[in-house]
Amino acid sequence: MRKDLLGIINQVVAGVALACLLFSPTAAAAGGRPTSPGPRLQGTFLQLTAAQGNWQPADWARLFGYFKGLHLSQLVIQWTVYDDLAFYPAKDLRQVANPPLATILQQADAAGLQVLVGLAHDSGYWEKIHRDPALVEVYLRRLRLRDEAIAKHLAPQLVSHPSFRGWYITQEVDDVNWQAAPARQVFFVFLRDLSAFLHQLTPDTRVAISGFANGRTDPGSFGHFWQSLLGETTIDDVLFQDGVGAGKLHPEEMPVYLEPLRQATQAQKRKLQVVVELFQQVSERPFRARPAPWVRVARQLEIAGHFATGGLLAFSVPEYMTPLGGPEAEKLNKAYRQYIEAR
Amino acid sequence: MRRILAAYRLLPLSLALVLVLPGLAKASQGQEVTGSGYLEQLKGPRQEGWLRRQIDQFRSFARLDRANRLLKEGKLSEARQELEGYLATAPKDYEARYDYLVILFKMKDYQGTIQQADLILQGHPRFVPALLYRGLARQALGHFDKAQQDFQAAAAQTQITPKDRRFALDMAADLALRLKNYALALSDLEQIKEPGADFNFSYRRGLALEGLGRLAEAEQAYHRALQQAGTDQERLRAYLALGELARQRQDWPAASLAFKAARDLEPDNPEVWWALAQVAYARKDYAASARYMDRMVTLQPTPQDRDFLINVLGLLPDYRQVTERLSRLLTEAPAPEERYRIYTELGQAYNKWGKFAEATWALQEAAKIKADLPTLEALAQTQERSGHLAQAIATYREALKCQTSPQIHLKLGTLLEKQGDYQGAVYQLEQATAGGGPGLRLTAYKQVGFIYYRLGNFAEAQRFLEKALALQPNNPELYQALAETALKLKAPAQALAYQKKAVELTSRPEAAGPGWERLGSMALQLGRYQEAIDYFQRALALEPSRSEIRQNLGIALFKLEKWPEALEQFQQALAGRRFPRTLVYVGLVYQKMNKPGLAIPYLEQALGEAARLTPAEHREVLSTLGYLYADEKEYARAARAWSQALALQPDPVVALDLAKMQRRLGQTQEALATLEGINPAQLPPVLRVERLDEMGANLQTEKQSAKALAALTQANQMEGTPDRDYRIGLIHQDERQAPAAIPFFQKATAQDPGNNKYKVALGYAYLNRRDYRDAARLFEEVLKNDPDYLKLYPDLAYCYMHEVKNDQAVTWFKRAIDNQPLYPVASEEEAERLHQELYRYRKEVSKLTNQYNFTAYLSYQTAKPSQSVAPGMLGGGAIPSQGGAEFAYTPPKIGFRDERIFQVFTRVLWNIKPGSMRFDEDSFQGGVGVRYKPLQTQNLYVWGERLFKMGDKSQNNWLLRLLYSWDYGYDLKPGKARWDYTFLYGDAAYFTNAPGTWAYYGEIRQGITFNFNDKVLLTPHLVADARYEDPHTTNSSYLEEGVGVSLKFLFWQTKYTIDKGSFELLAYYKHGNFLNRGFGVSGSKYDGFFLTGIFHF
Repeated sequence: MRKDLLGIINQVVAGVALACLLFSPTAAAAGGRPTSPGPRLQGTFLQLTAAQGNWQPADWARLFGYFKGLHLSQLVIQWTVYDDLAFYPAKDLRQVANPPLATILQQADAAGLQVLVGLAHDSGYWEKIHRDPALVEVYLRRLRLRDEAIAKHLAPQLVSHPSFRGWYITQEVDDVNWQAAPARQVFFVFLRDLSAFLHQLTPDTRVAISGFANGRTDPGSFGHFWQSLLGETTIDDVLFQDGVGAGKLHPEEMPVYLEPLRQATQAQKRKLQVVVELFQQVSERPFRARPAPWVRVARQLEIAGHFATGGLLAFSVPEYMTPLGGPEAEKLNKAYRQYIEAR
Repeated sequence: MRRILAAYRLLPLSLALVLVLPGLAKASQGQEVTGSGYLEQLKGPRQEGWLRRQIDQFRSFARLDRANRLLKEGKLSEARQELEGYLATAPKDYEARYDYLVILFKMKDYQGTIQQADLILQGHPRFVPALLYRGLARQALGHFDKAQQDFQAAAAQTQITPKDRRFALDMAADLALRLKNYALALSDLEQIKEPGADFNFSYRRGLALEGLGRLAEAEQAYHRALQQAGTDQERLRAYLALGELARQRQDWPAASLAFKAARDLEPDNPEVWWALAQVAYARKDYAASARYMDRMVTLQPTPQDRDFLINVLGLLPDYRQVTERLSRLLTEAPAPEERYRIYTELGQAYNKWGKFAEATWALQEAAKIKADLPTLEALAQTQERSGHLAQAIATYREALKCQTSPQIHLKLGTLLEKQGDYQGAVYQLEQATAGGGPGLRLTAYKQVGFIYYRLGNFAEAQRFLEKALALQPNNPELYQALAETALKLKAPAQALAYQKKAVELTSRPEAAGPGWERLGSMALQLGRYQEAIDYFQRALALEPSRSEIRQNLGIALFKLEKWPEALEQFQQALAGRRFPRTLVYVGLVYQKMNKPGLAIPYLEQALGEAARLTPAEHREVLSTLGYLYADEKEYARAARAWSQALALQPDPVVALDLAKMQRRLGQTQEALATLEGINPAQLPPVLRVERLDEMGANLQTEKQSAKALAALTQANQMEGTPDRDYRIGLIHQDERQAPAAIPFFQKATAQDPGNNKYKVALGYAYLNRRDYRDAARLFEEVLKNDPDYLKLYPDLAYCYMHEVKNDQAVTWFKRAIDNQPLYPVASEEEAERLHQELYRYRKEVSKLTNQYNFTAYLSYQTAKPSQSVAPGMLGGGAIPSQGGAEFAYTPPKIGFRDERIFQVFTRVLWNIKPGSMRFDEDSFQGGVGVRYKPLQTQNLYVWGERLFKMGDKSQNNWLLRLLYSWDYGYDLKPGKARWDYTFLYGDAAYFTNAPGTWAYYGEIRQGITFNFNDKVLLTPHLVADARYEDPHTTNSSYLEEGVGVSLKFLFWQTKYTIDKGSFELLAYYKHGNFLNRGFGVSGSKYDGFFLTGIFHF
């Protein structure tokens, strides 16, 4: 592992040279890097909001029309429950006026999309995992029980949809909160139990989780962490957020973490999908963002394409790459379409 | 080139002579010189009379005739004398004078010719031949301007013949060319009628146009002349003219082509070879130039041309040939001066060739001939170049003996400086300043300044540099040197000013970049970061690829905490050149950007090149890495990095950090040793406090509570923090000094009310103090904020239970039970413990919610005399009975108060007829009463009951009792397969009706319980019991012992309660002895089986 790390570091400190290496298709091929389908987006996250709870089927059809225009084939519904608000008919939770889950799946069936269904999201997640590991352990058990209950509730209807591909665990993995061994252990147990439950509940489906790096862990430890996580759980797909839109990483810093993560996923025979952030964060609290400039997105695609063994996802097309997101998003939509048509 | 020009410029005059001579010949023969019409002009009217004229003709004819004859015979001198004699007599005979003029001209008496022409022209100013001859004579005498005027004047005469006019204009043009009055020449040529296909006309026109700088027209004219050329000579002249013209235009190919054409016409013309050599030289084709020149000197060797050839060979450079040719010249040059020159040149050539020994020899030879200053200087320079500095110095000293020269002083000073003789150097340089010019003095002052700088005498250095500056106030190098000197003199502001001036003054782009960079560095040193950034950016604009500038710019940006900008510069610097220091800075920037993960690889890389780091940088890298590893929770790596940093240099701050890591790694002994090794006085106050905190934490782990407390208390006195209060409280609590802990916990909570940890600690401290209300308040607050404190749920429930807030207690017990899936269970043992824990909570809920109890029992015994009571039953010992049923009611509020129980009950007891299962109706005994369990932990009941008669054998009485039981393993131990079983029971009862009867009963059981799925308990056991009644009645007192088994069935549980109902079957075989009064054994015995069934819910 140390040897690998040193290799990465050597590349990292080469700075611009590294970038040149990474961005050179021939270099990538020579290095035996995975050949991705090309730096194109395969899918997008869909972050359900209360407003979308009022959408009519025609609204969803419009959105899926945009997906089709962008040649998307995958959809990750980020969550189906946000705190106590459900996006499907639920008796024990508040629910939106027009629960959209069934409509989304119907649209996805018709469009031939594959859908990962997210479970429950707790808006206090980041705050709560930053506590004593004993408390975090209890908290994660709560989350797991809740996720399991939701999955159990949804599974019968989901499996009837050809588009249902699997589950998305909403608890994102960062490089800060799980560094200490006790915290890491409780987190791994949580993921182990939840992923096992989901596989048992719906065999032959995939379980995905998303992660990102703040630059808080060195690349070697980062890779080691992910290899351990994947070794102890049955998570199939790692969706790595590039963090560029949120300002966590500079595009040039992406390879520093993508490379060890790629190695970790390959060692554990899992898939790595890179989530290209299509936005530019304007403020953190409250979160506000605008569509990113195309030049930057193109750069992200190019870098991510060298590492993603399972393709690229966007975060997220509806808000930042369709006319629904406003003129800038429409502009990005056009730029991307021109880009894929030119390739 | 001038040679060529001169050569062909002379040609027209020669040509003019050729043209004019035929005319002169005719003139001399008395023929019509350029037309007989001219002579008619001289026959103008005379003053004298006819007679006089006839006499004169007669007198003069003989002389004229003789002169003519002599002239025909070629006897010019005699003819001249005759005419002189004649003209003395007939001065107005202009014809004769004209003849005389021609003779003088032929005899090359040009002055005489001019005088005669003047005399003729006084009389006949328009006489063309006089004008022409005077012009020719003046030309011959070199009076070209006057000659040119004569030819122009002749051409202007109306009576001039066309032929002579052409001649006059040709001559005028030629002379104008000679006088370089090209405009005039061109004007003259333009006057020539019918220029026709004349080579000379075109050629001269070319010359004039060339002279006027109208080169394109001149070239056309030469080309025309080339076309018109009738002879090779003319073609040669045309080619040479074209070559020269091309040369002027620096059109070397054309020049070369023209001269090569000329060479082909006349291969042995040295001038052409010379011209070719010059063109090749101009084209820097030194090899060709040397080749042509070699040919040229073969044809026409001249010293100048040989020198030129040697020079060209030197440019090739072909020093071998140069030195060989010079050596050959040496053999041909016996004259000392020439030999001196050749030796000197030979010395220079050898110098250039790098053969300093030979150069030294040649120059020494030259010096033998003439030991002058230049020679000695050249010799000294050669010696210097060959590394023989001492010899060079000696030669310079020798030169100084010849002639005092500031230049030599300067050079000598420079050499002495090189030799390390700084004092000598300074002396010589100061000598140089004494007599030298400003430039030399400038150099000398500057050099002295540098020497003093090198000697560390910066004040003197500054003084001399300023002297130099006075001589050249705009010298950027001096300003730069002064800047560096000022830095050494600890005058950074002055240094910056000097450096700024240096940069402003520098005109060389290659110097401007480093100048701005140095300026930036100085500003950086002065902490003027924004200024430094500006300077570095200017430097970068000039030298964008210099990594050092980017690094320094990055540092300035770093100092201004402009992290992304600094990072960009450092990364670009790294892309250019990989400095370990840059790696360090990249790491530090990432650290500042809160990206330690990205910082670590860079710092580790820098560490890999520690040899290229300064010791300070090495330490910084290690200590920073320590912090970064610690931030990553990589405590072992952090400790290792800090240990290494400490090995390089002790540092109390780093030692403190190391101690923290050692504690986190569980190395408390090592941590304590590290902390003990720190001198607190070397730490800033805030870290002194931290050291005490660390001491306290380690001592606490080592169970040295008193010392830990002392350390923390001391720290708290220096700076109070809620966390430290909390930790002090914990130590007190560990020492079972809960009351002492409370104030600290309270203080911590007051200072940080949002901290649940403090509240929990305070809550438990209250709990220890049995301040259940406050504990409950805090626990509830915490759970409201954070529901994940699982332990608080039951503890809060107990608090409420103790507070006799049974409903709330039940609520929290239930929530604790609901939390079951949330409890971490990592092993079977933990699962069993949790199971038992939850059972306990359910049991508590059962107790708290229990209001009604019903118990019924029935016994059968084979030993007929026995009075045995139903075992282990409340109330069973006082009144022996084989059957009974009881209903008890626990009233709310007062019924269950923190394990104190108050119940109201009613019961019916009876016996069974011996040997049967039939109830003995006469034995029915009724009772109603209350009982109270006053102690929380002891199962002691106080009993008051009114017995009322139901059967004949029953009684009305008051029964007062005390009951006590103790057991171990009587109740279910959920999840456990078996356990020991011990049961003690005691009962003292008093019947109040006179005479008052006391009844005592005691029972002990010891056995093992086997648990079947928490539902069936099988307990084989030994049993012994005794009953004693006073006053004694028959068979009322006995002592039994036996063996038996209890089979208990449990049922009727809920999620929150344990099995409320049970049915127990007790089977014994007992041996009994009746007792007499006074507890003596009576001798009556019995044996038999006893079977009892008990139903309870």
